[in-house]
Amino acid sequence: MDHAPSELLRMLQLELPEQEGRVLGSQAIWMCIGCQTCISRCPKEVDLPRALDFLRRESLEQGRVHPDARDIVAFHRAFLSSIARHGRLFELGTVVGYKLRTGHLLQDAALAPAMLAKGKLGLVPHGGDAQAAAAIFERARAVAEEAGE
Amino acid sequence: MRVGYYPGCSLVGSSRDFGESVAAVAGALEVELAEVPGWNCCGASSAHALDHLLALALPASVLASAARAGLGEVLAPCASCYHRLVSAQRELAGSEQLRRQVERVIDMPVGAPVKVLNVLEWLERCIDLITPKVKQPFARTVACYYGCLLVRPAKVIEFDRSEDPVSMDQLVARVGGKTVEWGFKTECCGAALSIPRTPTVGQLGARIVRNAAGSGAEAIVVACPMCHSNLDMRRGAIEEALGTSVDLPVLFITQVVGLALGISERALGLQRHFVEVRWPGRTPTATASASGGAAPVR
Repeated sequence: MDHAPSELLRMLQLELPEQEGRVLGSQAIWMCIGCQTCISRCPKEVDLPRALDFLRRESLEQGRVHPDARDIVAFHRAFLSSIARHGRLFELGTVVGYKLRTGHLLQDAALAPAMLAKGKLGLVPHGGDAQAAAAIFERARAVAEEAGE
Repeated sequence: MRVGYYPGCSLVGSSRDFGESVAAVAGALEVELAEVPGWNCCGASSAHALDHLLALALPASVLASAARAGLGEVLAPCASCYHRLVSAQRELAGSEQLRRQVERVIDMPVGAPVKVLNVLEWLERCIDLITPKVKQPFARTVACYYGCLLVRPAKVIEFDRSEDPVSMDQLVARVGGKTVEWGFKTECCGAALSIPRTPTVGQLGARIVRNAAGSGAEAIVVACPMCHSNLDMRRGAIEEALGTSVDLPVLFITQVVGLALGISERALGLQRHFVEVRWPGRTPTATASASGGAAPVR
């Protein structure tokens, strides 16, 4: 993590464009996985997980994703496109999508056969409503555009 | 008894053992699990990282389908699903504008409020059905690992104590087990970084496994598919971080309750674990002997 969460907030409080750029281009905003510990312990209840969700979306939109975080973004994209296509997460498809996006082709190559043997890796998507999912994604895009998000 | 059921993607995929053990325990207790018709993925951690509206609409669609099917309560055993459903519900209840947007996206009214139950809450409710049916008390000492999303943030989740939760420890005690006091009950396992940052997940898991083993636990008990796969399937990365191997199995709470109810290990999916359950006096299903069986696949 290149900046502690408290540093990120301080940088934003300065309201200086170059500091905002550093925040949006930081690796830290992508390393947060929303464990919710900060907000649970903060006496001021600063909702950092939510702030970071916003910063991630801004960072993406402005094309400022830190080079070291591109694989994390690739994972999220692979995950969402699996849901958009099948309605439910198709894990094998998501991993293949992630590998193609990142070029990490051999990652976890040894894990797949073991998962298969234990019945933990489905070879076909499990029964989601693909049409309904595609419609939700499409309408979400339209509604967000209309709202100017 | 009947309860709405949202298995979520993990329980029909890489955490089939969790899904199987939930179903087996429900069967033994004669509780009917009424699956939410046509359910979709809740979006998990990826939707809220990339798209706010989708992060609300995906869980809202599940809850609206449940309400439409007349389900007043829905069991969501996956901690991440549970967290997303409850969080979305709270956020939508607080904003008329968001609710209207989401209803357009899901093309359904959000519908009557549905009570979302996590797996610990559900088992607690069933405790009077469970205790008279205990056939083989679970005579083991374990470390109960709650992780993040079942208890945090306290103001949204409103379940158990966020720093030192006890509900799982109490359940284990009710079926005959002992639990240890340890320091990592609610530390994070690294969740979805499992794929893009495997070594980080190995380091986080290493601290958890080391602390559990050092406190005298024979196993770690979890109530979340991500926690399970990061501590079990990712044991290779954990052992790399530790520089040594640790033979500490990871069980779902429903497997612990199921074993006490006398349900077979196979029906509970124990054979699907990467870190084999090898206790003194237990003959694993996959190997010949309890003490000197083949090394588990890591």
